[in-house]
Amino acid sequence: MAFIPIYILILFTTILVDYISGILIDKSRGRRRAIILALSIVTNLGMLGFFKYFNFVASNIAQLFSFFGWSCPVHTLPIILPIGLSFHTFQSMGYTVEVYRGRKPEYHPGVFALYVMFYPQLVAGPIERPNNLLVQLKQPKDLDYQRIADGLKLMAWGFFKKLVIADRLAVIVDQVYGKPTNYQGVILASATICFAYQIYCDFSGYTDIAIGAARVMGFDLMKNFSQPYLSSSVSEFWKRWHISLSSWFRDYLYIPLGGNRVSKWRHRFNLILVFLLSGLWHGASWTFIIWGLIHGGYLILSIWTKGLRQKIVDITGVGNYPVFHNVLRISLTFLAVCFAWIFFRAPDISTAWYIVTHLWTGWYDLLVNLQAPAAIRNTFSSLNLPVLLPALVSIVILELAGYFHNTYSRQGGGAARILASRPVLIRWSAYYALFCWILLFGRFGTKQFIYFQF
Amino acid sequence: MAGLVQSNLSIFNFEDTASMLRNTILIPTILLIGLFFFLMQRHYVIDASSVYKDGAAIICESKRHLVRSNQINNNKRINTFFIGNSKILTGLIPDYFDMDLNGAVTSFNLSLPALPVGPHYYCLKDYIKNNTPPQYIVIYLSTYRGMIDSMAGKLVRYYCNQGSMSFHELLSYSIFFRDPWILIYHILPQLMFSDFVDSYTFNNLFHKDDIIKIREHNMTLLTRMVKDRGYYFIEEQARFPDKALPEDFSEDMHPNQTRPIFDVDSDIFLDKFFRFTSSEGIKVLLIEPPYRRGQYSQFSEIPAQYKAILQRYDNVYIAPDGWKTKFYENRYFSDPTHLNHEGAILYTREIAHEFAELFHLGPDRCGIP
Repeated sequence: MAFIPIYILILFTTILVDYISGILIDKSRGRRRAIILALSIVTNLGMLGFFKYFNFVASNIAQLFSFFGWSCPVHTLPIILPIGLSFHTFQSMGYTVEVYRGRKPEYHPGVFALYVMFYPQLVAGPIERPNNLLVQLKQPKDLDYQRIADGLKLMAWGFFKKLVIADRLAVIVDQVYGKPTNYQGVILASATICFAYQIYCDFSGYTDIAIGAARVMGFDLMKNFSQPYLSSSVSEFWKRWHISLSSWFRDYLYIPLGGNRVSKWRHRFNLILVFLLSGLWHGASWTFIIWGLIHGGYLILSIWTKGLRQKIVDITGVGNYPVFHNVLRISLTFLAVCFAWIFFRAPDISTAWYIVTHLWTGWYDLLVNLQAPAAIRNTFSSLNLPVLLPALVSIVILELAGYFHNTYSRQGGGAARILASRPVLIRWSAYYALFCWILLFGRFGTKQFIYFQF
Repeated sequence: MAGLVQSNLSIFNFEDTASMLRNTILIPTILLIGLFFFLMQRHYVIDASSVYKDGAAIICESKRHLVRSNQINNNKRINTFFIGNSKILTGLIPDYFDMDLNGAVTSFNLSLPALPVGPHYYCLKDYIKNNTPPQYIVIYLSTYRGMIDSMAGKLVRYYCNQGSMSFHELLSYSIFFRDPWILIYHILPQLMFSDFVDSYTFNNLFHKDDIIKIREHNMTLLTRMVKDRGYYFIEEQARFPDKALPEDFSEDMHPNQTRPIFDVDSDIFLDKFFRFTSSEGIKVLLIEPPYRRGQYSQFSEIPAQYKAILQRYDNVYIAPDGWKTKFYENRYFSDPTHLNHEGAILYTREIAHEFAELFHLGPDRCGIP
């Protein structure tokens, strides 16, 4: 992933192709519309495929050939993935599909170019829809203090997530995933949980900064996260995680394929296909494909075991304790998601496989020594605890803030609004405290946002 | 286009006298609260870094503090300063120097480890604010070439940042080293010391004894440095148990090259330093630290850098053979760069001898056998 000035031509090609396609689709009738749409999609996916997947396909073909002892006619090319390619390609493709479905095209080339290149979300989303962003680009903007203040607050919250939590946890995760053979299962599992929060805070932190920056300028971008780790099922997780991508796949792939209004087996196929492509969207690697397939598998499994799970709930009576039942479901969902993250984070399949097969080691010793703090300390001493501690405290702050935000949102407010209604000195003290916390415990290195590579 | 933008900036309400009065009090209060928070967290970072910084950085800061608070004279009127980097810090022992000169001088080792001449210049100015200027300065001009070497800025950032309390001084480093981070790191030290903050926070919560032990260790180190009048043997860097390099040690050898020498035009502070000392009537003796035998080749004639500096400044001196490289046996070094205590005694006596000859303090007043 890189920014290379000449690669701007890719962006301009995307803009040009989809701008013209939009107008032509609007002016055409019958099959011609579908043909233009198909040409636009083929061009978009062709560029994405070449820059993102060519070397992956070529190296796999080469491996296959070498397996059979043949010489391979396909060679890899020195291609560098342009920054934000997957994001703006999908955003632009979404536009042509919407026009095909009846939306009026954008005739102003500057406005359309701005829609594709809107810089706060250009490199890592949220993947916007024309019905939201394109409309706003043509509306007059008020220079509104409240909007600016809200935007800046959201940006500060994004920096908190990225600098204090994500980049701290990255130290632990990089250390363990860099040499997993040095660690027992307890540590491998801990690092995986750390990664779950690292990627959440990294990506949602970026999203907050992007949404905040857009809000300062008077634009409302779509929501991309909604406390995903409080999901009580995997399907709910996908309604709360990277919402702009999962809803893109839902609207432009899953539903056109028939969604769940098809035969049972076709429905399963649709699910697997969507998640396979979702995995592939993240990166040209088998680890991402497996990650997507695991999530697709979870959803199919949840459909198959629905009756069985209900029976277990009835037999155990756990349904009579709704809080406990909910906590149990959230915990199991979280563990399932974390298991899949192993494949997302591991550099290759063999490393992921090593971690999966060694996850269970070391737990017995830990459980036996639960009453001896020194033994527990020894178990976790290989983790960089001074780096981890502020991140853990910050995660608690993050989740509490999320809880209050949700609670007050239901009452028509939201954490930021509630804070805004407090006396000015309390309010500013809270802002300063957050600022100082970021200054004190932020990791001001050069750690890039994880999703920049997609 | 202008019509598209409608202003709705109502941050503070100035509509009536009461709200205006309220805001007049409120805005400064908010700013003061912010300043309080900022200073508190900065103080926390400085406190954390004072525990975990290495010995050289602690020495640097405490020397600056001693000078500013006028504590280095200690009932003796100091008339000779040793200035240089860690090679001089570990190489010149004031007690031996004074003894060998039969009390003709009272010296103090003002060397700030790892630092170029700039911080020494400001340190000397701080001293002269409260004291009469010294008569002599014995100086080794290290080879960090200020504006050219990015190394100089990095070292100033790390070693001297908190030791300097003058905004003007740090601003001048930032400008002359073309390194804004010197100033930024002074204002926001956490950018440099985030690991120290982590360790300090963690140990404060779970291993408070560790912090107490490190503070005690640092205090011992400083007490030793003060007692030895600025001299400090970096024992912690000694590589071998007897604190002497073995004779067959041969790391970092350049037998076909001559040792590096300062570049007179590369550091603006060099000129400032010599002009200042000249205006104060201070005689400056240029010296070079010793190297290991065979580490470099010997100069065949006086290097151009020495000639240039002697021509330019009338208060600068060099011993007749002072420009030649001094080569010592490995056993006088504690690590490839620094002298051990025995090496420092030998070197101090050699410099004392050159000093006595050059400034006509007389062989009869010089205790060298």
